[in-house]
Amino acid sequence: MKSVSWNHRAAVTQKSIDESESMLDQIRSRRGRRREAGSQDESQSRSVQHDDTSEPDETLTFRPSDSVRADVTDDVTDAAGGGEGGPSSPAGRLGKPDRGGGGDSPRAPPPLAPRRLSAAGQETFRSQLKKRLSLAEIKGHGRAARRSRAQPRTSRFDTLREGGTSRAYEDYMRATAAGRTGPSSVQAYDFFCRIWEDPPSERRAATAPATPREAGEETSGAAESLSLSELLGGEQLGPVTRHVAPMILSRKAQLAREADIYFAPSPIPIPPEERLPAGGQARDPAEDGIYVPRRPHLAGRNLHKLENRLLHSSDRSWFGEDGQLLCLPDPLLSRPRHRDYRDVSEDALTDYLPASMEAPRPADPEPTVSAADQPQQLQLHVHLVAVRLTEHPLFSKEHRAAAGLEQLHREYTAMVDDDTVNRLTQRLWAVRRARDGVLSAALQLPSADHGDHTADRGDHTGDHGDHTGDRGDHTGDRGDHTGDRADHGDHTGDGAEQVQRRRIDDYTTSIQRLREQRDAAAAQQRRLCRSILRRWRELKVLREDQGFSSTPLRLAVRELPSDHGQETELWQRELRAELEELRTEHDRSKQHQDAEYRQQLSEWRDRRRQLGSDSDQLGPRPQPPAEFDPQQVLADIEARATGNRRPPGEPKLAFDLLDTHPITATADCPKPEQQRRQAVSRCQLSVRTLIGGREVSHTRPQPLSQQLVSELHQQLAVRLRAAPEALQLEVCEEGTRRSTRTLAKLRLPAPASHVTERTALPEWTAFSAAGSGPAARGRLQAALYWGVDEETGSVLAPPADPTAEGAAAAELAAPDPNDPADASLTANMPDPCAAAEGGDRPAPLRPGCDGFLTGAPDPADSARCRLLRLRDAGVPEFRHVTMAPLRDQQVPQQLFTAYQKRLEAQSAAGAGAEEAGGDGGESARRSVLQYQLRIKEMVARRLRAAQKHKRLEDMVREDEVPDIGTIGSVFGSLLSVRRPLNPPRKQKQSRPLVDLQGQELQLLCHVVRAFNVPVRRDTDAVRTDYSRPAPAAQATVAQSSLLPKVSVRPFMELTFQRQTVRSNVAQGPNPTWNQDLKLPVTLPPQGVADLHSLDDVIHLSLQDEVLVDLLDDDRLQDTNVHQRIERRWLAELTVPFSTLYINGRVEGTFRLNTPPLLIGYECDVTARGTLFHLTESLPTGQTGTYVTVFITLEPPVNVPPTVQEHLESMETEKLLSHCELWTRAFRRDYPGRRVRCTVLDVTGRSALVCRYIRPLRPPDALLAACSNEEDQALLIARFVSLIPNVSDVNFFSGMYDLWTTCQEFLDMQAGDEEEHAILLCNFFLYLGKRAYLVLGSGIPEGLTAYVLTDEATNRWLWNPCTGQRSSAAESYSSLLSVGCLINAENVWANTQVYAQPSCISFDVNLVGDWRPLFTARQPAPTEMASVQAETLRYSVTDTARVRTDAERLERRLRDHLQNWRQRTNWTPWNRPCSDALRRMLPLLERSTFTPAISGAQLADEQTRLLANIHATYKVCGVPLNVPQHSQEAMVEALFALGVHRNDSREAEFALAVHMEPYPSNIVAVWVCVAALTRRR
Amino acid sequence: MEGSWKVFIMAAAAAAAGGVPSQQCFLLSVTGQVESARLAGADQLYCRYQLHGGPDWDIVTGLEEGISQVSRPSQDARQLLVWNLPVEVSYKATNPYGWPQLIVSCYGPDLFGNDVIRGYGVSHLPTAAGAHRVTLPLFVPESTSQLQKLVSWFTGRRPELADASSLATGDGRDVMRVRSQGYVTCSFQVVTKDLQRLGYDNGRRAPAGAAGGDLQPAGGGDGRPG
Repeated sequence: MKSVSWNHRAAVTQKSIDESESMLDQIRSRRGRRREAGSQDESQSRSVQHDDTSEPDETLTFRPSDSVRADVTDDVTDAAGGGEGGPSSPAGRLGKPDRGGGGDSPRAPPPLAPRRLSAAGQETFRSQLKKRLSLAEIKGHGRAARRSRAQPRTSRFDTLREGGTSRAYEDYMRATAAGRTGPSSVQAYDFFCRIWEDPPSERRAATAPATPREAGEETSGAAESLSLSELLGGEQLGPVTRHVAPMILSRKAQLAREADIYFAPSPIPIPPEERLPAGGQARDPAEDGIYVPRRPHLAGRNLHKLENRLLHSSDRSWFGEDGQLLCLPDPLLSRPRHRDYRDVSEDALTDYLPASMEAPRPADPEPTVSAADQPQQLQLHVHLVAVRLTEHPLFSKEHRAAAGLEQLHREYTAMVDDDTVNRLTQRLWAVRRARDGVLSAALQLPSADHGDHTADRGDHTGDHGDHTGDRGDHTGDRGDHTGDRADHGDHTGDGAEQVQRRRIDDYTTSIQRLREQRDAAAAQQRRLCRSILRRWRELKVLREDQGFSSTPLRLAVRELPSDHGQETELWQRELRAELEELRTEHDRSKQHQDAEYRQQLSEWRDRRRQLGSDSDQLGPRPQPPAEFDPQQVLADIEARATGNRRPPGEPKLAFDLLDTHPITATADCPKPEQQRRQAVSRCQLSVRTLIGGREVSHTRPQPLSQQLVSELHQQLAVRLRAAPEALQLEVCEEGTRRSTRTLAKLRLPAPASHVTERTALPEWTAFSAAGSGPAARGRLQAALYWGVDEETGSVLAPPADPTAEGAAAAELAAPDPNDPADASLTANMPDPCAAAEGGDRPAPLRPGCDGFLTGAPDPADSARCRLLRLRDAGVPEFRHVTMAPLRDQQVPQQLFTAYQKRLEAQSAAGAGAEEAGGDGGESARRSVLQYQLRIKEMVARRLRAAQKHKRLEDMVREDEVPDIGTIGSVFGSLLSVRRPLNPPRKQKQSRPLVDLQGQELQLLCHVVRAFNVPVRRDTDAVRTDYSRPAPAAQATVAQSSLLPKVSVRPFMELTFQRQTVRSNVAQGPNPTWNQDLKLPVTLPPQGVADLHSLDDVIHLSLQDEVLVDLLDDDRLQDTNVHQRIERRWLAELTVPFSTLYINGRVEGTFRLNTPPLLIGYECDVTARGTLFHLTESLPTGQTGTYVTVFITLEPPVNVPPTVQEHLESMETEKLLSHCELWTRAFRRDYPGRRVRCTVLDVTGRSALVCRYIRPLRPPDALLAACSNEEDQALLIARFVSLIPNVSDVNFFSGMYDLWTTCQEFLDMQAGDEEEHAILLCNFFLYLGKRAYLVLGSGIPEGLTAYVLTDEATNRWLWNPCTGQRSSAAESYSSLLSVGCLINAENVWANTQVYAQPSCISFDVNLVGDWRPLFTARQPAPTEMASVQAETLRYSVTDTARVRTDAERLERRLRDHLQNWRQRTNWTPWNRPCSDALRRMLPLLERSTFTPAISGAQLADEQTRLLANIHATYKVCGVPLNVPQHSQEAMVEALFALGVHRNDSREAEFALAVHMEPYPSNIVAVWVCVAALTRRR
Repeated sequence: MEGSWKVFIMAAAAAAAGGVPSQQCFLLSVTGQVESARLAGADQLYCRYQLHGGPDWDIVTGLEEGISQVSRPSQDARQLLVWNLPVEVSYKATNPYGWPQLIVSCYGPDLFGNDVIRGYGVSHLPTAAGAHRVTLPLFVPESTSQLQKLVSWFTGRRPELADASSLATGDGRDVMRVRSQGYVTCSFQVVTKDLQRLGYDNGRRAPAGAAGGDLQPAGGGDGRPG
């Protein structure tokens, strides 16, 4: 019985061994398929089998002690159950009735301590196992073995206690214990079919002591309960509480106690032998040629602690064969991927969802389609990272060298990273060891049968071994035949020998091959090393030669530490081994050679016998094969090794390629290099992506860095219907002229279907230019991966191709553990479950077709995108677009047509600007406008950035720190007079613009008084004073004229933006109103911020209210009043809104613009009377009407200050700083006086003001017109004043004070006071006058510029915008203060007490009065090139065109007038009067610059011309003179006249337009409009 | 950011050409509350909110601005200043650019009883339909110098923004120096209409039953967009 039991156990043991072997075999066979390394393992396993079968008794001889035996069973259970599952094993055990049969089971293992025993037993068992299995076995399946060991150990008892089967087992045991020899049939039936219930616990307790086994199991529990009941004496007591005094121990004792309880692992490293299982030997898998992945870095101290802790729990399963802790490979990637935003906290995370130009869904969603009908959704992501050129026409020599170096280094690094040489070396040695092992095993085989084999092995030098050689060959053949049988375990002694032989042969060939591979790899590495060093030297030399460097590459060579002694030993060992191998090989080949030699020799001898000894045909005597010369071979080997590998003495080098070499600044490089760099910086690269031949994306061109790298960093996602085979990428070079040249094309295969964003790595792909273009090579870094559906988490990839997958699977089926490439393959092996899921994806709907539907139009082409883009760019047409339509179809096309038209006109004007001047013609005027626009746009572009710049004051409102001045004023205000006699106007706090948002802005005009108002000449029909008694009314005309009468009833009317408000009517030529007029300001669409762009004009007109008696019947005059009020325009004041905006207010007494001739009125000096004292101060002979007004904005606005950007300048730094200092000093001393040293030109560069002054020749026509010098000057002033005046603020839409040159000014036909003044000054200089440019402030324009001419008779101040001159000494001048004088040489700032021109001296040589910019100490720059052209180009004015223009304007004005008179619906035109007026207008024009023509003369002429008309009509008309700005302005001016408001049914109108052409397309426009009333 | 961009090309050219939708804008309706503030050292506080949308946004109903009552901190450890100031507004828009922002400005008396600014906060309205809670960090502009600081403390005229709506744009942020103050918590219930129909994907898929996702009802309690 006993022996049977043991046999059974042995069988089980054998079974377990077989099982583990079969497991090993699986592993082996999988591995052996690819590598011959497997063959080694195979042979080893075969040897094991052989051992097992040849010595079958060994298992039986092993008789462990009882306890150990029990454990062996345990382990067997584990080994068997580990694979088949726990519950089956006890059932299987139950099927063995003989176990413990007969009730005598004396050797039943002590049941209470199976676990404790198992540890020791395991060790023994393992050692036994190991003895039998060859060590290589364990090594091979180390991981599998470890895994099985790491399984939680379930002992038999544990297993049994689980579930119903355990109960069955207990029952069964109980039954057996009751003395029955076997189960009855009922019991057996019951066992399998009965539903087992939970047995009641009492029953179990009752039966507990019945069996010794049960007793044993329950011993501890029973003993415990028993002792407790004994202790308590079987009585139920209350809870026992006991006071325990606190235990206070000394620190030492405490520590000692703790040392017992706690385990503190020491950080000291454990010797490796302790970490290994008992008797084990450390084995390094790397040495065996198995690829060992890099271990993650762990601090040594922590690692040792961990090891100590594990060892303390005697858990050696955590340690590998090499005594190291088992661990997974280092998961860290060596290469960075693109940035991941997943770290962002959930709150801050905004999922980016791609914008789509077109709706992804149809507008009317279709009824839900079933999942199967839905087309396949694929989403391919392309991440283009960078393009790096390695060969390009832009490459310098140095770049080429650097690229070469980089390439070499890359190869070298790849090789070092791969560790090819070491890997091959280790494998070589592993195979050598294996061979040696087989050899030694073969040698140990104690068999006489194998004697020949031993002999064969013995005679290495044998030259007589032909017999043995033959035999060896035969045995080899036979070995081949028997090999198959040997695999089946049919071993005979001879067969084993054959196998051994064959195996050794295999080893030898593989050693030979490995050696060659290793040598080749080592040679390659060494060659690379050498090339790198050589290239680096070349690069250094190149850099020195050319004197600059344009690449940052630097090679750092490190010497790695090496152990010379060890290296030498290894070297020698290698040499020896190789020598041995060569010797063996030589021996093997010698057998053939010997045979050959003998045959040849015999043949030779035969021939000699036939032919004779000295025949020519005999040939040389064959040489015996060369003997093996160890010395020679060793020398060869050594030479080869030295060439291929690093000899022991040589330093071990490592190369690092750094980017730290300084690059020479471009300025220091020679010209060609500078040009090359410029060319590089202009060059831009882009990448076009094509799928299925259709372009899906074109990246934005990215500039090429100086290192010829273009960082793209662009991602693209393409939704596809069918998987593309490959992606075609085109690297394009963007030329300077928007030409795109394809550099190279490359194909990227579509990624495998499991590649997603997480697993995809950007890869470099090399490309080279194909075709005729210049050579260009480079690499493109890109990652391709499939998108992931965010809802379902499924990969939007095509189903994996079965063939491709099959190939991949075939590859993966036999992963080579020796190859790191395979290691990564196994890591990335797709989850088979996932693959199965992907498999049932619906197939593409139409697999045949391209299936690619992503050809959405380029977003940039869509109208909406264009609209948004233009709006963002601030293009005026689009700036105020709101609610931009969502779809292209809804974008109104007319929105673009206006813009398109403007662009076209602009480009046409740009092209035709030159000849347009010559033609005159229609285009001239337009071309001027276009030129203006172009300049505007250019300036706006230049200064947009500066304009956007905000200051702290704009953003944050903060109180000023009160200084001593403000505190003083606070106290001063306490002491001031409550009601001062001369109250000053209180300054209002102006507020920043942004503050005014949403408020109504008002124009406030306070009209104080006017004087010298023209009086009516023709008063016959008007009863001027109705308060007068009747007799006066009946007086004759002659009588009434004698009476002192009120001859005019003036009022002021304010017109702004077509809105009008008027004051009350005052009486007489010197009225006083003292009235506030308010008008709301209609803001530009952008709001207050855009206020500066408002180019409206404030018209303040002085009008006469005339009462016309409509009573026909004189008898009714006593009782009825029937009158009509008529108004007659007398004079006006126009103030551009920008002037008001910049200055904040316009205040003072202004001379009104009165027409030179006012029909029906006269400016009678005698009529002034003595009413008004102010007239006294008027200069003698000065006629004109004056008005005192105050205009401001309510609430006051804070004007953004002029942008003082430090821009590029044409002046030297030193000069600029001098100017700055000078200006600052002057402003500090004389605040409020205007001085400029440098100004900006239209290109945004600053220049010295003196550069603008240069004598320029006026148009010849002007010079020829008058002979008199004074007349010439007046004519020129008139010419200049005719150029339209446009403020910089309007023109350049921002607070910039830009000065244009005279040529630009003439071309643009627009400019502000400075431009006018400069031109006038330059003309005067040409005429030989001493002229200065005067900067100062005047009325009404605020900051202004005048021209001062210093003549023999007088000093004249010229207002360049009106063409008027006034004597500098005149006390009543519109120039209020003089800031500085400027001429071509210098700038003089006014340092006199007063600034009024009448109070100051204009002698600039007086040091006390004028402070010059350039002094003897600080001289002016020696050469001061003028910004002005030498001569001005004047275009010829086409007089015929001017005439047609005049006609057109007349028609237009007439139409407007008729339109305005819609209410009366009839506007009769009096043609004779119009003709008369038209004849009169040229005279008026002449009178403006001819002082000889006085007012009296004009009046006479007028009387003469209108004599006929005066006879029948009362004429009241106004000639209006405006510089031609635009026709719109003319219309506005006509509207402001208010002639159309004449409601009289009898009124007739006359309108005449005259345009006087001046050179350079400048035209003086005269409009005369008159209302005629028939006399009664 | 300035950073990395993505272009998604949608395969829907044919679909877009087929039917022109009847309505040309999408709607965003937000109801919510400016709930409470945590602001250390504030004894009394009231807040003002204003909404600021881009050029393609138009208010259909609701108030663009609102002002709350004065609140005192709660008598517990949280020291919450509760307003529960309702915000109800509906926008129509044609472009998600300029998505409306809520600007909250908190004011309260200082030591001398002057009404001073206690904090500005700004946040976009949530883009996804559903209930959201948003916590706005508050900040105030700093005085330009220590002396200014002292003076402004005395005079009770602390530096404040000339225009709080400038916070909604990026301009001029570079010139400001601000100091963190506390937090304001707002809750929003967002309903969008036609957003998906017009091709904008704000992270919410239409439920399978709702055809085309015309109306996205408020999902319960999901604070996170997307």
